[in-house]
Amino acid sequence: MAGSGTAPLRDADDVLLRVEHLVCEHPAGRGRKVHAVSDVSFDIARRETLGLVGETGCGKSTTARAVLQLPRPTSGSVRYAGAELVGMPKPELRRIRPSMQIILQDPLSSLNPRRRIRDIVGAPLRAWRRPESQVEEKVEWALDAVGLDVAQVGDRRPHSFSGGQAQRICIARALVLEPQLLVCDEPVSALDVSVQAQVLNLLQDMKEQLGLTMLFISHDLAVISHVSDRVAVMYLGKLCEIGDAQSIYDSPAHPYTAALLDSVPEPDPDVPLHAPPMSSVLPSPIDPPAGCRFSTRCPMATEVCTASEPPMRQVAPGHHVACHFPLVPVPDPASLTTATPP
Amino acid sequence: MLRVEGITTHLTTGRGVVRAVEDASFELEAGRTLALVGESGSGKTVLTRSIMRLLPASSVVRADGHVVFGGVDLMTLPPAQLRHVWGDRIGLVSQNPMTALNPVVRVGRQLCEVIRKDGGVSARAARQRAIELLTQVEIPEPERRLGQYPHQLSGGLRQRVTIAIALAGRPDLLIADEPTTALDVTVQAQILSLLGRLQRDHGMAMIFVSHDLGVVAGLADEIAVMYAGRIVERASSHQLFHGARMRYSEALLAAAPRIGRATSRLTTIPGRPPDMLSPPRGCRFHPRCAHATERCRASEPELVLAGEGHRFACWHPAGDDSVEGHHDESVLDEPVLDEPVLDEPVLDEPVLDEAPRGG
Repeated sequence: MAGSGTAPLRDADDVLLRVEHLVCEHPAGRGRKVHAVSDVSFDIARRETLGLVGETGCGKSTTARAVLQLPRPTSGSVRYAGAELVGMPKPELRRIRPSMQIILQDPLSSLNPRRRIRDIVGAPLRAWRRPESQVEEKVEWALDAVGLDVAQVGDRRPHSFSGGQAQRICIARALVLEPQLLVCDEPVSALDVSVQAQVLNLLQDMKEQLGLTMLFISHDLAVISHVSDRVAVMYLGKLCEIGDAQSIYDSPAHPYTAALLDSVPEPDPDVPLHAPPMSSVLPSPIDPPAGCRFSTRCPMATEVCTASEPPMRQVAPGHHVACHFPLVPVPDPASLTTATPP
Repeated sequence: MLRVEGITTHLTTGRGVVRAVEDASFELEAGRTLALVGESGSGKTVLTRSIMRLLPASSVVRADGHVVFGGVDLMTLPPAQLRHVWGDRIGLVSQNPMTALNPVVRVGRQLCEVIRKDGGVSARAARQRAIELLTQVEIPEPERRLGQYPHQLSGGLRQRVTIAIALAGRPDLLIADEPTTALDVTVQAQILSLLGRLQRDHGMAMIFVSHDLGVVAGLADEIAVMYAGRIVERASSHQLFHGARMRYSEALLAAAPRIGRATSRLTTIPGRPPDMLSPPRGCRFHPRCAHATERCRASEPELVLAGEGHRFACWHPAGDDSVEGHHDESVLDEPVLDEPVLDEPVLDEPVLDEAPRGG
């Protein structure tokens, strides 16, 4: 479970976001540290959706926030549209922020209960001192884009909306500044299935209409498979595997990815219940296991796994895995056309 | 073993009377699992609480129906006797183990309290039984866990402890209300297979409440789909997944994203579940249904049997309509929608997302 390699990074010009060796650590008292994100590297091409999936506490949200410099990571590099964000002076960073927006899990707690919808959605524009005429026009456009009528909803306050509608309002607020990068942190986890489908379709439409690039975080593998072009699987602060969605779901190379996929209950009564042969004890991120971080739970772990950390290796074009014993054969790098030297 | 007949529960809230459950009926045999599936506010939790009579009397304005459990009608049982039903005959596992467990009492004491509640069990024997129960729910190092507080356990372990507590009275019926919703997918898989195994080993009947059809597919013998306080379809797991008839069940199955089903767009259900203060007339699903006609607006379809234990309440069911007479489509029925159905129309009133849980 390394990810301590930049092998998955692409050289293409259309890469919007390039994260290298990202590290986030928080003090945990008595001189100890929570190793929330440890040496994670990935990139996202323009108009691409990267799905970031993993269990609670694996560092998905911390990674997303570090990308947005909210707060800044402990170390590493985040290059956004060619500019290095880590260490960038604040005024300069502030000028870039409008093009990077985030949508959070609980829509009602991210809307100020005392303000009207038109003010909530218009707030980002006013923060940038856009002329009032433009604010009105933009608010109307953004609400319309998410399927709400400003005349109907503009003067209401958040409490009069259901979770699905409130999430639409959050999306509208994220879109008024016309961002390029949209970070979605579990945007549909709090919603019912029928409403979840509406919001997922809306995000898909927005992405196509506005040419958005998305970092989409979810613990739900079915949601991730639906929205993502590429998928990155995280475990205890490290990347296990990254690649095209199809490739990851069809032939997972990391035992953790395979266990996750195996755990998803099949909506099919003919498939008997089963649990993957994996210990459920999640190690502490304060004192993560040496070597491969998944080794304490991995059914295939050997001495090598506890002794040394596996580097990211390519198993198929664009599909990289950090495992000493991947579930699919590792081809000779030379035989891959798009191979990147380690 | 359990026969639920015409359960109707109306609850009073700050906004008025919520018609949480209307005329819900089902039977459950020993050793079988019924899944109650529906979205938030569909009344599934209120139904299980009504069956157990766990709703606070102060908020219940109407409670009709019968719950015949082991030959006794729980609805008419005096409260003193209900205490011997709770825990001893019916065990309950709820969604959030952190609120189900007392945070300032060690796990061992919480378990022993249940084991010794009727007296006649020595402290030593209770401890032995507690260890046995923790072993049954596959908790490693049970002796050590007895001395720990709930916050020292992971979410999965906590849920195992609440399951152990529910099993302590050797119940005939286990009610599990969204027991895996708060858990990670790998832990969920373990808890689901644990529940399946425990039920087989103990020959318990189980009512499993979930909002997720995928979760119940492999676990349930029978599935009851709830919408707006009503059971709208009841079928074996196999029948429901391979031939859902009621249009809401059909739509719910289609709306969930699935791994391996490559679609650029999900099938959505327009609108949102109705406000239970004033549910729509006729079929409660008609304002959101693509197949709704005049008839659906005017009269409410009953839950009728359509062979092999498959019941559904729909005037225009999916699949082959010629099979049974009751649901034949009238030739005059042309699909007409009340009004253009927007995704989630905005209501004039403040709307609660969730039905009151447990009153």
